[in-house]
Amino acid sequence: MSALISVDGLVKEFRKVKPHEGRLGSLRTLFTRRYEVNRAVDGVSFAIDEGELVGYLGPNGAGKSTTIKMMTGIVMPTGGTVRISGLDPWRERPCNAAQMGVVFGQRTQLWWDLPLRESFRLVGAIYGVSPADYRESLERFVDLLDLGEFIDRPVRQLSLGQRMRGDIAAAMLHRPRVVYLDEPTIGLDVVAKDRMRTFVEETSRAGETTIVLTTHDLADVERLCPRVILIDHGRVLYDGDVQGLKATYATHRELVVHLAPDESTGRTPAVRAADVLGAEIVSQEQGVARIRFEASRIAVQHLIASVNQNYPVRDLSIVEPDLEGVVRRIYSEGLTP
Amino acid sequence: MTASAPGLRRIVVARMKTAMTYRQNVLLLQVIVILNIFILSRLWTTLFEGRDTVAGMTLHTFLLYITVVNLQSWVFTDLTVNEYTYQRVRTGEVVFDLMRPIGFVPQMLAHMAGSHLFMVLSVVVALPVVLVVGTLGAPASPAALALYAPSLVFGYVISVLLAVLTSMVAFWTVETSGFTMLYRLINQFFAGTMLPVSLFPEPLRILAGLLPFQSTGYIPATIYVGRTEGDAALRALAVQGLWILILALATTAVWHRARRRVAVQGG
Amino acid sequence: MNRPFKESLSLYWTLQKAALRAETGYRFNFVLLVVMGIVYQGSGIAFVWVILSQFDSIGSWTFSDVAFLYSLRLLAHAVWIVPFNQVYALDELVREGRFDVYLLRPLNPLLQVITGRVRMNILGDVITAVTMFGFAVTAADVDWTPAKALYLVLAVLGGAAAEGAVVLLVSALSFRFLHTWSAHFLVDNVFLLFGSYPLHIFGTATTWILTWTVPVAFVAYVPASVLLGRTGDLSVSPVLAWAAPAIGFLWMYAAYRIWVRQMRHYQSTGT
Repeated sequence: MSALISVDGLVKEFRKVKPHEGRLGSLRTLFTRRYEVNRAVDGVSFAIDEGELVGYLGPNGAGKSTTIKMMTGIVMPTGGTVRISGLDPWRERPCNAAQMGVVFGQRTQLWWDLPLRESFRLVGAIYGVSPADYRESLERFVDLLDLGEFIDRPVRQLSLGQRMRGDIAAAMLHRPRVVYLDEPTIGLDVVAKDRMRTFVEETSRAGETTIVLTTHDLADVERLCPRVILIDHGRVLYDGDVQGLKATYATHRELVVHLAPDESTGRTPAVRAADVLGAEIVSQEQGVARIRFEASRIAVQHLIASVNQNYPVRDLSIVEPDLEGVVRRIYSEGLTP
Repeated sequence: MTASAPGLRRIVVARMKTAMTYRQNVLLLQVIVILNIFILSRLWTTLFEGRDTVAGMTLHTFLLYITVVNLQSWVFTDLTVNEYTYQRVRTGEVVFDLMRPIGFVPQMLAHMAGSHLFMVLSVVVALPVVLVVGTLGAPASPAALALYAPSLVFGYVISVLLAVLTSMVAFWTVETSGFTMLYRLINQFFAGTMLPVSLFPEPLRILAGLLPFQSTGYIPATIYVGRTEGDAALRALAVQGLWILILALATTAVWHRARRRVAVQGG
Repeated sequence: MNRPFKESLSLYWTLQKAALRAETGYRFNFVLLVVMGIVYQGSGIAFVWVILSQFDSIGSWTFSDVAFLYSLRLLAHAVWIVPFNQVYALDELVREGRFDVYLLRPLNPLLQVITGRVRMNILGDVITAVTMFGFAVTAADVDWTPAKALYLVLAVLGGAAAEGAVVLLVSALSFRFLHTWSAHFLVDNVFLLFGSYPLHIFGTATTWILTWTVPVAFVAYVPASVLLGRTGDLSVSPVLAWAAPAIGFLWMYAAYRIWVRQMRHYQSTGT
């Protein structure tokens, strides 16, 4: 069975004017131009099956949004292929557009000056949704996303959370096969974020929609995505589940030790390097020592035993690698598989 | 709020740099000047058929007038300040401008100076083409040149003041682009870029006399070609000086009201 | 997915009405709009009136001839600009990233561009154009026949298409360049300045350029010449002159295809 979304060796190059340096640089730029080519996407390949919920991660400038733009038919690829349900998003743009829905966290698709309900009506007309389907879809979304209280207000008067809910409903009104969510929780408060995540979860569980989620919010990913694709410098660094990502990249764990103060002096002792079996003491303040160790090299029980033996330990805990930390390291250290 | 010279100079330079990177803009604006001169020259040559002089000028002098007045108009054209003011007001950032050590008005002026300097450069570069489509020539006499220099400067100051004044419309309304286009049209017409003011029918000529626009184009240009000379020229210079005074006062007054309006509305 | 034309047309009206509803939410001063339209559109004719009050003719065209030409051009311009004025703002749409949204929908992006907004100040231009043409047509030296009346209608449409084609081509630059206002300004100037006068006064070279490289002549000069019976002045044969509207339509078709093809240069680098 072939995948619903297949991306193969996708490349996108941008040409930018490179201004000349120096004092007369501006003047020279007036007469001659130098261009530099930027390979925003440099051979990206992956396949997504129907019904999957995939997280697409990457730092700014990684080529993340460019890939999505090629998948949604906004930008024409320089090389490679992308097929959504067999369709080429660029060459067969209208057909592909009819089967997808897109939500931008930072931009709206709604009609700014008109009531939200109007936007839905227009979207229904544009996507050719039958009146019966439209009624049913609208009812469902009003219910699921709690749109009733503001559906008759102009979009420009809505709060960010309300507008986002409106955008999601508008994007999914025509029951698209594929939904692209671009930063859907950005700027939302805790409650709204949770509601958004629940919605995405339930939509995916219903099994009718394939969801591609781009986000910087790793809490989104940890909760929602069975699979993540990590991209940086235009290339796929990792494609698999979150656990695997942590296992591959999160080689370190952290032991947090709370030390008891000495009864007479009131001061807590400092943990010495010699006592931690070669682990790294990340910080020590106010009686709390954080010790970072490579799980494969140092057995945690030996470390705990050593610390316990040499110091008055009041409390111990082990901090598992979190996705945030893992990804931050990958971004900053530029690790490659 | 006092203006600081190095800060202003930086703005001027930055504005010139911005102008230069928009290479397409430069080229197109040059083309428009050239087109204007071409069309008007051809039109008037046709109209001159069978006549020796029109408005007291021979064909050659007349065409020289047309060329000079249009070159002036283009150097004086301000394309940036309106947009700049409009954007600052619209986004509310003008509040910061009002707080900055360099005053808002001097900043606007610096922006204009930068773009005008650049206009001069682009006109100079385009001169060879202007030579072909229009008519270039020396001032009518050394006296003409001596009177032209101050007249040109006065005309420039007047057009700058007018630009600042009209850009402040942005403090009162959102729809400035229609107003800007209209203003530019009226400005060009009454400055005498299409035909000398002396050729206007009586009612329009009187109206033109009451407006400052002819001081930015018609007056300096007719001094240059020698059409306005001697006492008439001196009187014209005086009128220009008067307009500078009037407009400076008006600008200050409007500026104060604009400041108060921003303070009341919060930008 | 190929939409039937009827469906696209109905969508056009639906979206246009929505844009109108959005716009009427804002206050606008109707009288001011009309006045501005009159001043702006009428200023050119004022110039011609001023000149011709002192001179007999421009290149053997009398004032009523030139007024007819001028207002014919204004009318063609109005017919183009009312539905398509948003095309000028494409560079702004691109810069603000709003064009992305249009590409995401299963609907012709150009159709979405033109229904994106309604500009009420166009109303002033239209009223001026229609009024002025009304006067000019009654004063003009034309002996009207049914054929000429039909030709007039086609000429206005063809003239709108000719000018619109060039505007569309300039607008396509927005896919590559972030600011196209100066190019639009230039084109607008060219059509306004050259399009309003009997072209032959500019010399044969210029006339040729404005006939065959940029179709300025076909907007109003050629049709006006035909209707005024002045085909002798023309550089094109009378047969071709009668076919002027067709040339306008051809230009529009070519411009549209080029516009669509230029979309591949869209980089979506707006915010």
